[in-house]
This record gives sequence, C-alpha cells and structure tokens, in this order.
Amino acid sequence: MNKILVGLIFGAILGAIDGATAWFTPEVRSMMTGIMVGSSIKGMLVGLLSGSFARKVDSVKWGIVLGSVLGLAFAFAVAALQHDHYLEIMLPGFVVGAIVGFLTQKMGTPGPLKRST
Amino acid sequence: MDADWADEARLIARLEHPGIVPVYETGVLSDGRSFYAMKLVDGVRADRFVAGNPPLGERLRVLERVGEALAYAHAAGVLHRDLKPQNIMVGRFGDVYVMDWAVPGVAGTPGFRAPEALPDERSDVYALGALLRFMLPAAAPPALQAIAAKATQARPEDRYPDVTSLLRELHRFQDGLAVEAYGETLWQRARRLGKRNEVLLWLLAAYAAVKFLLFFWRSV
Repeated sequence: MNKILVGLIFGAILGAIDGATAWFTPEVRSMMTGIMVGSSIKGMLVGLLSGSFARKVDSVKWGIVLGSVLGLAFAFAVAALQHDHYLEIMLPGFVVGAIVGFLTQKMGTPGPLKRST
Repeated sequence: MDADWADEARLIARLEHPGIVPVYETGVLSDGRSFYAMKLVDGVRADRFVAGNPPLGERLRVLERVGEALAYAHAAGVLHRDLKPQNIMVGRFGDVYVMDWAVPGVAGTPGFRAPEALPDERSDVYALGALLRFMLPAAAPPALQAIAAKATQARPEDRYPDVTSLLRELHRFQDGLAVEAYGETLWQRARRLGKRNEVLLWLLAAYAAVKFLLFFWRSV
C-alpha cells in the first residue's frame, strides 16, 4: 500500500472518530453527520498531502511537523467557516494531523527513488 | 608450504567482502617458510573494543558486520573455524574486519569452539553465538541472551540453521519485534510493543488529553 493511500485511509478514519467526539457537545449533536463527514474530508486532505510528502521525505520528525501544521490549517479553515468553536476544532485537528503525518511516515511503501545525474 | 594451506589461502584470497581482510599474496620465502600478505588494519581487537564499554547498539552493529562476512564466506564454501574476539578488528572509523580465516589444523578456541568433531557452517554459528554472548553487556536484554543461548546449543540441529537466520533474529530484536528464541511474558510483550510504538502512544495520549481538557473547559 502506498503512503498516499495510507494517509487517505487513516485520515478518513481518524477524522471520522474526531468528528464523532462532537457527540459530547450537546449543542452540536444534531449536526453529527455533517461534522463527521466534514472531519473525514479534512483528515483525508491532510492524509493526501502528508502521504505525498512521505513519499519524498523519509523523516518521522518532519512528517509529524507537516501533518500537525496541515491539520491546524485545515481545522482553522473549518472553524473560520463557522466563526465559532476555534479551540475545540483547531486543537484536536492539530493532534490528529500529527498522528496522520506520523502514520504516513511509518507505514506504506515509499515512492520510487529519484536518481540525479 | 603445505598444499592444503596454500589451497585455503588461495580460497580466502578470492573472498571479496568489506568485512574480510583482503589477502594480497601468498607464497614461500627463500628459507622455506610460507607466508601470506594482508591489508594492514588500523583498529582494535573486539575484546579491547568491548572493554571500552560501547553502547549495546554499537556492539550489535559490530556483530552484524561479522555475521555478514561469515554468511558471505559460507556462501563461497569457506568456514572460519576459529571465530573469537581476538580475530575481529574494529577500525577507527567503525569498519569491522574478520581475520585469520580457515587456518588448517586449528580446531577453534575453547569457549568459542563447537563441541562437534567435524566443523561445518553450524560450528561457525556456534562461534558467532559465543561471540554475541561475549559482546553483550552484563545487563543485556533477555531476548539477546536467548539468541546467544540458541546459537550455542550443544547439538548442531538445535542451533540456528545458518548465520543468516541468526542475523535475522538480531534484526527482529533491533526492530522491536519478538524473537523466536525467547518466549516473552504478556507484560514483556506489552512493554516491547509500547516501546516500539512510543511516539504513536504519546500522540494518542496528547489527543486524549486535549479532548479531556476541552470537555472540562466547556463545563466550567
């Protein structure tokens, strides 16, 4: 399985789980499905980009850094759309991004080696 | 020069491996004494290297290099017959050389010599296991001690079938995987898995902590 697919799968799963934790916030419980789908898509985007990065750069440290930055950025975009819940969306998004970035570095097959002449 | 010795020397001279000291020339001196000329290695013997108390990873790296040279030689049909710390040199830049190959008439050194009368590849496996035991620090992980114990079993059929199998076990240990030679308890297995996935566990713990704090922050 290549790293982009690893990123997409884990991004979707972790995003859905992260979205599902919205159940603990009663005022948004009625929007659970939308939150879970949106969170999954956000996770998949982070996974796609982290996976592409992991195919080129073999570094757990930088994988985590990039994943967390991407997670934070996408979470900020989602929070900005709602003009609310910045902290509740961005903090977990940051950590989920870090986890996805880590997993894309540790799992999946790397991209073909590029030879320079 | 003894004909067998000359054959062995020529055979060893054909071995081309970074871990085997190249033999440049073999022959007979004018006074009838036989000789062979080898590359001069600048380094310390493995016993002195170990006396410097290097970290475990470094000890295993040296042993792996020895094993790789041994596996290569076996594939070429050459046995070492006298593997011991005094026959291994660790160079100044971390390079490792196995020396004194297949000396005819030498049956090995006590402590590193397999009990069987006719040496074969498993006799070298025994010596490599004894070398592993020698190179391990006093408080070595039980899995490594078990690998050394399996490699030095009295009956050849109870040892690893070849050097490559022994090296594979060492790699499994270094990758944080279970080794065949050691039956770990549930607690040891959990600790090994925890150590192997340390970063992931920290990240999951961070996620749980964030969620936990946010939950109580909202409640305040």
